[in-house]
Amino acid sequence: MQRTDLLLASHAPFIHCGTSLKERYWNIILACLPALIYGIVFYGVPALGVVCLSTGSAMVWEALFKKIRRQEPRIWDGSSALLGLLFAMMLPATTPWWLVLVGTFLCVVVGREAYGGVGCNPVNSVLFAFAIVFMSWRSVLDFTGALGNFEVSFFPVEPLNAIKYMGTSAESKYDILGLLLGKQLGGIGSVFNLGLILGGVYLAIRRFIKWEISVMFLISLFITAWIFHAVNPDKYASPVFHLFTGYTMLGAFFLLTEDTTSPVNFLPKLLYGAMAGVMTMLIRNIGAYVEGVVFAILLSNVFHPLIDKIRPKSFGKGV
Amino acid sequence: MDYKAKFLRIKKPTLKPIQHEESIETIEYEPSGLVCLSIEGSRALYPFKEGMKVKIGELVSINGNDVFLSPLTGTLRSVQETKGYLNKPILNLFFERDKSVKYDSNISYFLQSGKKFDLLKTLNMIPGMRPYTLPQQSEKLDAIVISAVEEDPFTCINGFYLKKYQKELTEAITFLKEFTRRIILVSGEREPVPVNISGLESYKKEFHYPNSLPHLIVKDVLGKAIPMGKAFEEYNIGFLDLNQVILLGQVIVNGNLVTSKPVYVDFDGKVKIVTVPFGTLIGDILVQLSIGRYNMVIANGLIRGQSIYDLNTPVLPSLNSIFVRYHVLENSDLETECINCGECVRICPSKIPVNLLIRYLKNKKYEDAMTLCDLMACLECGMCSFVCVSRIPIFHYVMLAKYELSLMEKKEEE
Repeated sequence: MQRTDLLLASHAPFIHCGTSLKERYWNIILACLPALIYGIVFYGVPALGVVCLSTGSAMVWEALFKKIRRQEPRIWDGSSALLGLLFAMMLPATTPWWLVLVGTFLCVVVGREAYGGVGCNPVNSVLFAFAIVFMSWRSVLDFTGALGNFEVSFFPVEPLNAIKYMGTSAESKYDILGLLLGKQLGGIGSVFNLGLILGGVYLAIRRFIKWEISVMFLISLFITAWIFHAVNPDKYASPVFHLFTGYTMLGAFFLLTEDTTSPVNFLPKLLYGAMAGVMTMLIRNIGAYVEGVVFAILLSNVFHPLIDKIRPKSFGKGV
Repeated sequence: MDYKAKFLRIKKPTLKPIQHEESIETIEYEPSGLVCLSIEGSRALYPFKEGMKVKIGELVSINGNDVFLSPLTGTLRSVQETKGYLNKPILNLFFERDKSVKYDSNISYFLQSGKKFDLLKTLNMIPGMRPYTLPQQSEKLDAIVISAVEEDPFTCINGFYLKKYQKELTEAITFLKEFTRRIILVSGEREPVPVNISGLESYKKEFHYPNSLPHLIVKDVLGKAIPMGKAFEEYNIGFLDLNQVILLGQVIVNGNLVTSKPVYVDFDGKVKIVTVPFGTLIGDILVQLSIGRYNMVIANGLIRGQSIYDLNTPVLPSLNSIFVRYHVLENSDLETECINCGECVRICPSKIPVNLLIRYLKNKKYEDAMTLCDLMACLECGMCSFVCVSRIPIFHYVMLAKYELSLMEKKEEE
């Protein structure tokens, strides 16, 4: 019998393993929480304000921009929220509101949406925004000055600043365990290293980040710092000190591993991580800036498509 | 079958073949109404006249060119032009089946006179047949690999074949032995493989998808990596799937063309094996099995299969399984841009830079995709789409690109 009723047609495959962008981004946000909550508890209401404003405004910027471009808003997949959150994690708790707004605008609209949205940004948009804000308002983002009013139980100078301007004698004022547990001045979400490591391990075992990059970054940063330290221990701080200060851990697990701007093949992943690690130490020890992670990662981002050309030979080519 | 991503994702995901603990219910069904044969082509190319009569085993020709080998007896009632996969032109020929079964002497002549190559060549003319690709040459092949492994992990019919058609398998292997030095039957660990066939080597292993694809099986069994796009024969190897071998065996045992085949029908996990004559409309099978609520029918597996939009699609030799679903559009979520997460590159069995490839394909740069990203090395397993976080139908883009390139090539030749 001939039938005329038609059926739904779709493309193969008809099953999917169930992963999605939403799951990915909300899980990364979840991994940020230990470090973030520590920062909020430590710095109190101002920190909470910065985090909320940053996350919220990032989502609003995306919604507005999508509206202007007459596209479906996708703010609930968490991509903008994650950008806002990561941006807030890098800021001191006393950041003024206007700077947060400008930063998230640069981050979401200029750094990502202008290029086409999720997956199209050429460099890490959080760092792109942070670099612009940092260069434009350096005094506002100076941790030692900004956080001077807080009464803390530890040495109230940002560790990398202390090293740069006081020499390695300042190193003795910090203890490694204290640095690991967040007893230092810094960004809201970047000081609690233990929390960041926990989050990073969670992301790595669930494969939301490419763990090879993080591991290689930390190893190469450690080795480079060790070489500097061995050559001139009076001028350059010890490698362990560098591991637990500045944005090292935040960069290793949350910024450097951003999918869009990092390579996918095994060897390129190692090279990319190594490049960022070496570059960070060069900027920290020789460069003019105190903190090298931001510019090191931005530079590595630019190189990633080139590095990713190193890839295995295809099976079909008769290996 | 649980194919969803695990909480810990350290291991590369593979798809374990489905196994049914209880034996599957099998039924035989003989449709009463119209049957259909679909061939690739258009009405202009093949101007068939209504009222044409065909016999089983008859080579139907038009203007002196052989078009197809008929697996049924009947009278042509209507011809319908339609579009198939990737918009290929398809001609549906609807026949009314005759009550009496008439055979053409064609096939039995080849069998009796021992013209084996001619027999295989003629069998290749059945509509929708996966061709036997044994080369006609004096030198023997190094090996023929017969795969009794399910290509699709959601289908489970080869165990049924091996149990029911032991005699046919033996006959077919005796037939094929002349072409080759070695003949190897590859099967899953639990399949009942006949051991008493002389000269047959058995290779048992649990193949997880995508390792159950022809190229990867040959690589595993013979240790030879054969480039995609090259025929196995160029490397002196033959590859046949169990379906083809059993059909050949049935022809030898019957002394003439076989007219029916078993089909694995999965309706929301409820499974039956239905033996139907070639040409039976899929719609008729669904009515016979009283399958009620459905809006999607998928032929040949959930991974590489094709969705059927027309219930008048016939059962032809290449159809192994039908999956009937109510709205299974799991991949219907909004597709976004590639975020470069690298899951596809990690899972790709032929190590293609899928993340780059998809960027070329989305922008229709098919030639660049071929030269820069090894498009032609793709084994067409579909695992990249299965794991894609951005839900991009990569597999579909690849198939389309390959088809477009083949069209371009044809044009250039002309």
